[in-house]
Amino acid sequence: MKRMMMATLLIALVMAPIGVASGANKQIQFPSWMWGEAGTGDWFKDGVALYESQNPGVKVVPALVPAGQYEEKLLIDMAGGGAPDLAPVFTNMMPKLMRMGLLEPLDDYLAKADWKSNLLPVQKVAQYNGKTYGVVLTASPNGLIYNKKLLDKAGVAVPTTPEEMLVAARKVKQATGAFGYGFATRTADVLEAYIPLMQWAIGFGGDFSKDGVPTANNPKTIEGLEFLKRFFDEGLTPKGLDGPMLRKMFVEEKIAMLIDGPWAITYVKEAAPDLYEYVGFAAPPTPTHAAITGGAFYTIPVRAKHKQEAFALLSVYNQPEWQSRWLEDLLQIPGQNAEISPKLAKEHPWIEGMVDVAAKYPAGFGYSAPGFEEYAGEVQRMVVDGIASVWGGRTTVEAAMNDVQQKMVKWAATLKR
Amino acid sequence: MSRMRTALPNTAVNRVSAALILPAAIVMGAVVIYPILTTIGLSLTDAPLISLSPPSFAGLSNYAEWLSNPDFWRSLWITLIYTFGVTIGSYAIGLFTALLLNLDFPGRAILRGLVLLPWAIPEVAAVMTWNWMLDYQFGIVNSLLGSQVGWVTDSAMALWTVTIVTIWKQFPLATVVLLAGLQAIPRELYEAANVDGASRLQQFVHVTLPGLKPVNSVLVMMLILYTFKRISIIYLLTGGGPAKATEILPVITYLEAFKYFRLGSASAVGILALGFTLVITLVYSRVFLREEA
Repeated sequence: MKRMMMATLLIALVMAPIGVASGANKQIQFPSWMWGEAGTGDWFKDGVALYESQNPGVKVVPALVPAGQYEEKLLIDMAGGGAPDLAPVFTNMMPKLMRMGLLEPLDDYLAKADWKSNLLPVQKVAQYNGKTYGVVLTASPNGLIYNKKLLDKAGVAVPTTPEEMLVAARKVKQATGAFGYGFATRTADVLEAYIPLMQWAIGFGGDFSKDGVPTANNPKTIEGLEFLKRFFDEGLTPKGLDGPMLRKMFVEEKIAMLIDGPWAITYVKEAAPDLYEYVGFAAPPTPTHAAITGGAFYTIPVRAKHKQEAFALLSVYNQPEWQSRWLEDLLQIPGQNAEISPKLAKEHPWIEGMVDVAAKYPAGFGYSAPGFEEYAGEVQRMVVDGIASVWGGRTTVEAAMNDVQQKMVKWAATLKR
Repeated sequence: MSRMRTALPNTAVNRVSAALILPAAIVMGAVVIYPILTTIGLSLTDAPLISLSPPSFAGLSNYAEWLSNPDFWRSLWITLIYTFGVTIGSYAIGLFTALLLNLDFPGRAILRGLVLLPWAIPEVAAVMTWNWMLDYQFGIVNSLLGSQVGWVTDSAMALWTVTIVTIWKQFPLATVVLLAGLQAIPRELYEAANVDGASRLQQFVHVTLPGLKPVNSVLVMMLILYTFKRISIIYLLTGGGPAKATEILPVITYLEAFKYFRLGSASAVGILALGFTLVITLVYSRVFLREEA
């Protein structure tokens, strides 16, 4: 009998914490690639702390998933029947998730949100069949990021046209030995290799599709890519590298110009504080100045267990002070219109350039060809496969894009849309 | 077992045998048979990776689409070149190193350990290192050779490059197996060959090679199967590119399933690849194993 009582007591002791944990707390599952990022991760964690202090009994469970695997892991989790409560997603994931019916419509929640009217116009990416499935988290444009020191040494001004950029790149190489302009040509990383192609295609007024019709061999698309190839042919860009490596070289002052997002400048600030004051941000020096805009949305999966709580958490992040903090601490465009304070403009002069680009030239949301947002990965691969032969010196831009066009037309005909 | 046979009637022996293999059979059923059957089932549907509604039956349309797609046949050809290139290379280098390590010389034990290193290094770390070494602009390989070769960025070079890297990673397996085979060849055969005045080459051809036959059959089959399904080296080095130059069947399967989210289509490629593996295995067994028997 004594032994029986001891065993019962032991089991009760072991089970007690489990009972407390599962009974008293609602757990908000919140995966993100941003938890581990310096600055951004702190912003999210601080929001969680505030939310938990306002909602005792609700616990937010963060899960760090690397950005490169985020889409796959989230979809595989959903495919397995699981679903987080709050899931930030990249812009290019939105069309797919909405069409698949995996996201909760947020219109009823948003109707009560006083910050709704202040969301950026890119919010329209989260609308499908008259309903809203996401809340824009950030939408920062790519722009010309330059090292003023290197440009000064070469005796050139910040370029505003493709020709000026080519001349500047040549002079930088001549005067300093650094590469004038770095862009990704390592085709093993399809997205990284696609971004500069898209940038120069839209920069010349072209693109790889229009309203779901392939336009890879559009003369303007070809003109943009041919201009980009001139940097490659003249050895003004390091060959075979991807985006992260190019950023590292920029920090080490081995590259004078990149066309990249503000995160590249945040990286400079952390890795080379001495260089930070010499870094500027301007509109892409292409004829249209169209700027690829990278972004993310908050979403609540349709299978989420705690939807109300998840929306309450994302509402915390949408309060004006948090939006200002996103701009001022992280130096990126938040999901809502936010004013630049004079102090911020003085401390970080390049911010005004970014906000200006975001207001005037946003384009290319989600790194996808217009009309093929759901199939962005496939279009990217076809285009990058085509350009790989150009970088390998085996064909011309025009021949490669004609080939891509043929493949895209054939492929598009098979889509069940 | 012979003692058991004398003690138990045949039916009891059968029951004991069945009971002993049952756990293994259950595990095999769960991790091999069930996934294959599920994959076959999926390949007959239009299942996406994720959907809230059940997939619809598509019959053999996924197979028909792939078999009429030139990219599939191109990929199969690349897979075969890669598989046989790696198998032949791994075997040849493995045989050479095994012969070397079978000799008696000072430092042999250390060298044996060193030869195994490529096999022991984690694959991702090894491939990332190769990636840097082969970099067009800053890689040590181009620097040492004084060349400007796009080892992984030029579509004419990429397949050879991934083949060489895979051989480097895989040859120690051949070395270990062949070394074991060499050590199993009786010394007396070499002594007899010496007495008969056979040269080194003659000894190699008439004693060593026939002596390795028992391990060869297993080793070659292992090398073929390991290479045919190997995706990580190619995916990390080239992603299947440039311009599909290294797009082997496992890469297509991966892209279809996890990049384009077409599980039905990916399953069909996977099953077709499995079919080709079976064909290769059967042909090999018929030709070489029968000859050996």
